[in-house]
Amino acid sequence: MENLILQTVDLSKKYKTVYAVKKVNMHIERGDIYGFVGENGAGKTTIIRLVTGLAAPTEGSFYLFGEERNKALKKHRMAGIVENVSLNRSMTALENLRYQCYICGIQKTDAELESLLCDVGLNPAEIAKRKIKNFSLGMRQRMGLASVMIEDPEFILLDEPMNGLDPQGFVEIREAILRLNKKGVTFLISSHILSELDKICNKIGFISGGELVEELSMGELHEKSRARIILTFAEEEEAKAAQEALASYPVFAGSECAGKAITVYGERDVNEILAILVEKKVRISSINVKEESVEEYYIEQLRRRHG
Amino acid sequence: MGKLIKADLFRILKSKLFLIVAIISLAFPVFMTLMYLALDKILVASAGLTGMSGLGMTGRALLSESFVMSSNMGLILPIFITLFIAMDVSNGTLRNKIIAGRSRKEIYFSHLITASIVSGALILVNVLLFMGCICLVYGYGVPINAEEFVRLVYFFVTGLVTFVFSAAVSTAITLSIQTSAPAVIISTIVGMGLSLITSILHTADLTLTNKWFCLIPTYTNSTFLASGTFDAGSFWLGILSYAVVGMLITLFGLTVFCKKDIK
Repeated sequence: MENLILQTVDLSKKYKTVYAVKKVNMHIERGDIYGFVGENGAGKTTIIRLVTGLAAPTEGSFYLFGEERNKALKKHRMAGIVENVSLNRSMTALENLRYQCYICGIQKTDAELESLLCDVGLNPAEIAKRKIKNFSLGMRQRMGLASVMIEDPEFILLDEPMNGLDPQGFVEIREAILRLNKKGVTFLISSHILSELDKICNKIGFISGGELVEELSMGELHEKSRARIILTFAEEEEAKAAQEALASYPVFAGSECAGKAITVYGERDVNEILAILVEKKVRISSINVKEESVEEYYIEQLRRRHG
Repeated sequence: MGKLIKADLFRILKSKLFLIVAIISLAFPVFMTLMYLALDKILVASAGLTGMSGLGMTGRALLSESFVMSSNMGLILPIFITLFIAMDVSNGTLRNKIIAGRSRKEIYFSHLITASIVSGALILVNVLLFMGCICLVYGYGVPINAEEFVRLVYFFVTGLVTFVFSAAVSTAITLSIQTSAPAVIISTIVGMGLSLITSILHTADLTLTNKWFCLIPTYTNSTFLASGTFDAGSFWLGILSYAVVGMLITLFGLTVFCKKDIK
């Protein structure tokens, strides 16, 4: 519990009759970079809005730093960008950072604020006195990250931080996140760009239709996505019998049965599987060995979920 | 709370909108004085009248142009306050405050206090400058003795409280709705509505016939502006009315703001 930065317990948000988020139970530990993946309208932003206190859950609750929601939200240990980067367009970059300092109740010198701009790949000499309305989308994203870092938070929530960034921007934001993470900052990052999350996250949560479909470590995800064997059977009954046969071997414990197919994850020996099935007298229709990217795995999960 | 007020004041001072309203607040008294002077000259030249000063127009009489909710700064300030608060929502900086751990109560009251300070300061500068200009041209009209001084104190306190009340109404409406356009329209309608009710009561010649009318916000202010004399009882009833109605509106705004999801 002490190590848990965020724990949600059946967290739900209902708008009239529709659930935007339904019974989500997620766990983020200290030092994690937790990637949050889901299609548009899946509920990613709603969960971030609930955790940051911008919206109130209709059911369930959450614990931040081990403390119950209402207590935890009062403490300045969290920062984040939700939906859009929140900046005053008529103020300059430095004025915006100064304004954020007032909000957080902290004091920083101009030199300290300029060094924050450097940390996110912005050149203070060029942009410190330029108004935000004249910034490109990518520059605004970086400014947002700089303003988030002002109060040295322990937990940062970033909603689509890669939006509008060029490849150079991707690298800079990624490096800034990894640098902060090394200092002990925990991250929750939502994004559509799974390949980017793959490069920085150690844990990932798939969300669809407001429900957390799967929460797994990056290691587990790679294990599941890189190699798997799909066994197809003529009848559902045969698939179930095969699943029962395989389940008695710990090495195949994670295999999944759906309809007439069984998926065995990891780099397994096909001959070993065949030997088991022959022994149990289960007839197999086809064997398909697949290796796919994290993105393909995610799309496959969505396809399965939506039938 | 102090830090949030500092942040809001910082934001207001950096906004172009504030600059425009401040210029209007400073320019309007000068413009009005010049207009009176021009009118004065036209009257003298065309009708052979002795001019406005000769018609009894004095600084004291023209004070009735100040602290009026239904014209000039009375119309501009609620719109300005509404836009200032609504921009906190539309820029997303309101979200930053919540995420930084500020409670909704703190945010609400920091907006209310900032709006009251700015609204009060701008109207005070406007009225003092107007008085200064008019008195410079026409004089005050009567010697400022102890009685007149008390009248002036009543006048300024009632006027300031009227504009603080107006700021409270604008804050409640904007933070409840969280969208600038409807908030501006509703704030203006509420301000105009109160002025209209007061005007109707005056037209019906009910002025000071029943002291309890002073419990309608803005009634005291306009009664005071319209009549030469004013008693302490009506003054305190008026202040009580602003305090009670203002608190009820604030309570309503705060309750809605605390329950509503932030955009």
